[in-house]
Amino acid sequence: MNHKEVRRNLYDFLRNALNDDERRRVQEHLDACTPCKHELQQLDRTLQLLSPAPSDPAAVRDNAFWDELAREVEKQVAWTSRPGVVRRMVENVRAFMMLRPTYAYAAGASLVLLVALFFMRQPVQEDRAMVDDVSFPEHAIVRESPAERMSEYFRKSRTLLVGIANMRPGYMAARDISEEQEFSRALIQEARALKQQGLDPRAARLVNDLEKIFIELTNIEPSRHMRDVELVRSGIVQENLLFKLRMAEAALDTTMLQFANDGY
Amino acid sequence: MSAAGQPAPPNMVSLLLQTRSEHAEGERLLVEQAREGNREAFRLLVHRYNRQVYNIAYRFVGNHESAQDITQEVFVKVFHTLGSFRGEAEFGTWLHRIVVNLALTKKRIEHSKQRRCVNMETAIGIEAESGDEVVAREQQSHVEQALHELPTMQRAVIILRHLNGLSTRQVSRILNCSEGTVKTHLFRGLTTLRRKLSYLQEG
Repeated sequence: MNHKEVRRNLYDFLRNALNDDERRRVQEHLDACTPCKHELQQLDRTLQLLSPAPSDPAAVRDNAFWDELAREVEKQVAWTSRPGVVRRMVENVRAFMMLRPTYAYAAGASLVLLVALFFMRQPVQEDRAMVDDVSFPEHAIVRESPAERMSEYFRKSRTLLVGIANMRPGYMAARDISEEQEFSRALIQEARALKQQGLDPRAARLVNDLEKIFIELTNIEPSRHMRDVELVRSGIVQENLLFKLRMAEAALDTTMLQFANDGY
Repeated sequence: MSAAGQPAPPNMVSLLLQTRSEHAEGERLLVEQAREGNREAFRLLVHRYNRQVYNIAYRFVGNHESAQDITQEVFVKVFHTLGSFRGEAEFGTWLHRIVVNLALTKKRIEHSKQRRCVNMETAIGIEAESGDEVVAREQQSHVEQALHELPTMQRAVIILRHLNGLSTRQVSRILNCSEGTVKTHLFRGLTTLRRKLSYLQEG
């Protein structure tokens, strides 16, 4: 057996899936060929890495699931078996779109545009008249209270951090985190504005901790981001930031509710 | 309901008690009756293969929701294309071919649509995990990620041959290639996987 043939059979060799003659020939080659023996060892290690994979994903599903699946198949079969030009057309279009997503997006975009054009063609003059009649001085615009603004900041921070903390390492290598970084930059700006309006010591500490994490996140470069996102994740966990955020939000909710009840 | 003069399709108990040759013969009968529009026969085929189909689909797409969707689509497709199944291959092989094609199609569509995994407006709690659980979960995640980055044929062969335990011959028939090609894809796929996993684990 040459090297290529031996290597193709290494998997079956490890799995005892070769017949006696094949096995003997592979063994003879391995006894005399160090590189192929090395390949065998590497393959063995790889298979051990794969072995934790669930052997039966379907086992997580119970009988009720399979019954429901069968019913769903029946329903779809019944629907698709019905005669009818319109039904067939719908199914053909659906199948076509599923395999050609660009057409589906174009169709969806066209539909949105048509709907938008339909509404835009309504007489504009009436809207203009309404705006002219109702004066809307700037001071009448309702602004968020400081507590509401803080609460919103904490809520958004928690959303971002939970997303980072839930990122699986396997995904990090292939993902672009520019949107998370953009979000972080916005939250850094918001933190600075909040600090200017004055914060109690506890809130100030939390805002500073969050700011550090967001700055780290924005500084991550694409070439290194997998490891650095992992560092940010561990930072979130170490500082117990999610718990602190939940407590801070709960405290603010209580404060705002009290103000609302007091008629402020 | 069976057509006049045709034997009734085997029931669940008799299917379970069959020997191998009886099983093959029983399946031929089941497939034939399903082709003729016998809904009960079709239902039994679904029951016989639903888990297998689900497992293969899951291996390709990596999540239960998509695996469920694919499984349903597979059997609907089987129903509508059974007329074109002429028995030149075993029904199982033909069925696996449908699963693989649908799973790869779905994977291609999802991959081209995928941009973000993080839903910025949804707060999800973190469940406490032990150190060992975290390591095992991350290991599994590395493996899944590496597997999904493989070239299509290598991934398909690893999923069918190694993860689903089909024989080289079965895989060659499903993928319509020689057994040698299956073995080559398997070896190359596992070699590539090893390199990717080393990189991810060092990273």
